[in-house]
Amino acid sequence: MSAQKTTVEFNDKVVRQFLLASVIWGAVGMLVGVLIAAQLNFWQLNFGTSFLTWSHLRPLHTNAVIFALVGNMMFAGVYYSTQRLVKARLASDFLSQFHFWGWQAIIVAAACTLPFGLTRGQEYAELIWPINLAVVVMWVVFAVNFFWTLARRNEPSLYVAIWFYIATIITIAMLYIVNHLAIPTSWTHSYSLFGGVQNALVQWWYGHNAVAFFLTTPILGIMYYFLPKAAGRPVYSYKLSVVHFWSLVFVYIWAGPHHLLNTSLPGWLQDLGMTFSLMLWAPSWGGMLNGLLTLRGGWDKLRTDPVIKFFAAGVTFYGMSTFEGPLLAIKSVNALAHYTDWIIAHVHGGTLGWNGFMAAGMIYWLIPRLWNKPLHSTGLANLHFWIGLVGILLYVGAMWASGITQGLMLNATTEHGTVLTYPNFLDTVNAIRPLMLMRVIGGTLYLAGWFLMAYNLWMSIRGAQPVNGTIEVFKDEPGHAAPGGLSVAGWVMNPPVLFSVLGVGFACAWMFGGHFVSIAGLVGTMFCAVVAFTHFEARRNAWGDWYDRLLVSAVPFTVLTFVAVVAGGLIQIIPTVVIHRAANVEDRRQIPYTPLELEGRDLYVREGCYLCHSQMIRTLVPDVLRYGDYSRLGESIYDHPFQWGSKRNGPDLARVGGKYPNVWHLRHMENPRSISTGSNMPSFPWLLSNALDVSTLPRKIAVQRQLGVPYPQWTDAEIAASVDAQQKAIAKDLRDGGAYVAPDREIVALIAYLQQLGHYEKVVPTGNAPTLAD
Amino acid sequence: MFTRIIYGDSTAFFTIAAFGVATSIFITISWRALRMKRPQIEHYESLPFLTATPAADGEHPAAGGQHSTSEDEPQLRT
Repeated sequence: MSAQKTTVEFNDKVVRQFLLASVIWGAVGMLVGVLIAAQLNFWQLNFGTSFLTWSHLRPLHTNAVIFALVGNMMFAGVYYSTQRLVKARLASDFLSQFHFWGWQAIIVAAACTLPFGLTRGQEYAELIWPINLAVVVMWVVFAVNFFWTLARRNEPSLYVAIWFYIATIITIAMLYIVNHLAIPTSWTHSYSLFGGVQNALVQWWYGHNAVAFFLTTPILGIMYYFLPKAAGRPVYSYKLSVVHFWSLVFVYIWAGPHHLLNTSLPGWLQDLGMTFSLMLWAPSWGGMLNGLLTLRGGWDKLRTDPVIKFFAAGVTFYGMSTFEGPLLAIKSVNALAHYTDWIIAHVHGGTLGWNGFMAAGMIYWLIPRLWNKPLHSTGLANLHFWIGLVGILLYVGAMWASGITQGLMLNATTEHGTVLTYPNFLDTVNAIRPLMLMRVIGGTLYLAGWFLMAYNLWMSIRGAQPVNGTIEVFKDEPGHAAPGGLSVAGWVMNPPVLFSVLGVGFACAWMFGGHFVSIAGLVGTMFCAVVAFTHFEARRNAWGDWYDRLLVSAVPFTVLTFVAVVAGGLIQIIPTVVIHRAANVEDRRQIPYTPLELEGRDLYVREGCYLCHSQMIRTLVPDVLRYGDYSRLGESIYDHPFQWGSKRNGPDLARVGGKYPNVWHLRHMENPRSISTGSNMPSFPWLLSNALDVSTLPRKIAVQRQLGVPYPQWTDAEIAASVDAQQKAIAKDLRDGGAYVAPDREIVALIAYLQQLGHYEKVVPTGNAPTLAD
Repeated sequence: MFTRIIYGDSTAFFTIAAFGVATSIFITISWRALRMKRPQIEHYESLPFLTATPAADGEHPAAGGQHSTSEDEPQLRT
């Protein structure tokens, strides 16, 4: 065999492109964030328009900072570090450019649809189905480009940063595809395949792990590459990084249900979510300490080097957020914090502190190296750091105080716990107004720091010559496998894999099988464990050798990582999807919406009402005192998508139906302050003037039927007649109440939906179905 | 099939079993990591430094560090 010396020039053009896009979109996303923060204080800033209304802009803000700021930053970091770690140029210049421009097109498409109410109604998964498909295509392009580059690598060993990138790519693909499964009803609308509790579980399995595998694992990979480079010394403990990776990717995926504590989600899922969230403390803090201790001996650089400043603070915020997350996942703490601004504080400690500061550190480190020119001003970069840090502290401190205040006031009772101390929800809103204003100031400071970076970047690269990195490598002859790698047969035919598969199979039989199968499964599991241990004692080298070879074999490593992340999802989702269907519901079952109510519900989703109003009365005394009987699992079983919500800027609406007359709702939507003095809710006057579009209603009902909602086989004429009759009845009632509105206006459909909330039918036990007593 | 998980008292066991599996994986990986040999660790932790990085001042790029190019004409020198 002969080796040929060649020079590889890296594709740094795409790194520069993603880096610039991250800075630009980051500024846009955070600008929208500051605006919507201000709108909560000053309702006039909604400007009475639909596309600038808080509930339309909030998804734009979250999607922009997640997928545009962090997404572009992540792609820049992944592409830069991967090329250098594997000593190979990105596999395809075409795919790299396709990836960049395709991703930017998706961002533009999101910006052109979300403000106009084109949404799926699920947080961080709002984009409509054609854009979902584009995201999947772009992610596949990213994956192909990445894994193709690994296949062409000139360095057989896979550094731990690459492990985190692999976990990111395969897990996000899995999460995104499953959570976005839907049946279209038109080019801009679809219904989620999952409904009610199933939808809630899948959504927060996705939502939580979007944080884990989009905002965390790729940034950890970036930390493991860029932090040692900036500090000029290797990572503190490579052993710890190995433990960090495997424990994090295995444990994270189970923790999603902690977003649904004290709700009607089955208790065993809540217990699993809480338990695994608490376990996350260990790997997260292991990684945080590993990052900080990498700076050992180099702390003096903190005084002068803005890159080290940003990285050290970013990793510290990672530690803080990953301490706070498990804390909030404890049921009793969650009872206070959920639906309040404490969660907003937690999220922004992570995004502004961890993601934003790691992005800034990486960008400041890359600028001179990608454009071969010193940074325009180190002083400005330091100023950015201090302004940003003060901004975060103001923001997070204000939201902590606000959240705890909200939680305490909303949960406060008197008269031996039988009467609410603050029965008027607006009391809490008015109490936190100064804190909300402090958030606006904190956010503005942080945004100002970002603009300083943009200016510094512009001044640095203006007139500079872009440069691509190079490396000299010795290339082996084509077709030669990486030394020590695993063959295809070696992936499967080895002791660890075989015993693991057998063990899991027996354990499943034990847990899920009938009487005899269960006993056989128990015996098999015990037998498998004993034989595996015996084999391990006798053939230690075979077990150890397999793992060492795995570390230089990209494909089997990827498969193993996929198995680690898929386990938690399957164990939680499969039982929920199989058993929690309408046919098995006990106690109460939702009554399917009339055609007009269904249209009203789609308007509710379009207007983003779920972003401020939950439809989930928790199994907590203050919730029941304030909103009525606690929500049952079956009461939202036909909801595609579910609307349990995650934040209460306003009161819960699960049982609002029939609570107020129709005219109250009309006046309230037209101008909330005419009904509730001091309300910060935006006005929705266009609902009174827009004509309701029912052209796709037959298709919507057909899709609902496909999804299992028991609608009869209505003809189009029957649907139209039903809509017409209900519209006229509500319009007449409004007229009797002193408000004239044409029956075909959108507000009528929305009122129909709101007045139906909380209605259900009692389920009569059939005798065959298992009951709680069983 | 899932009757006991949903309706039975054994749901508590399910959480404990999952906790046990996670803990065993944690211990196994920790054991593997602790057994890594010093040369192996040194090799892995040195990987970010095998590709020279240009200096931040932009004036004296390290050997094999970077190559000026036009954005319109990226060149592969292999």
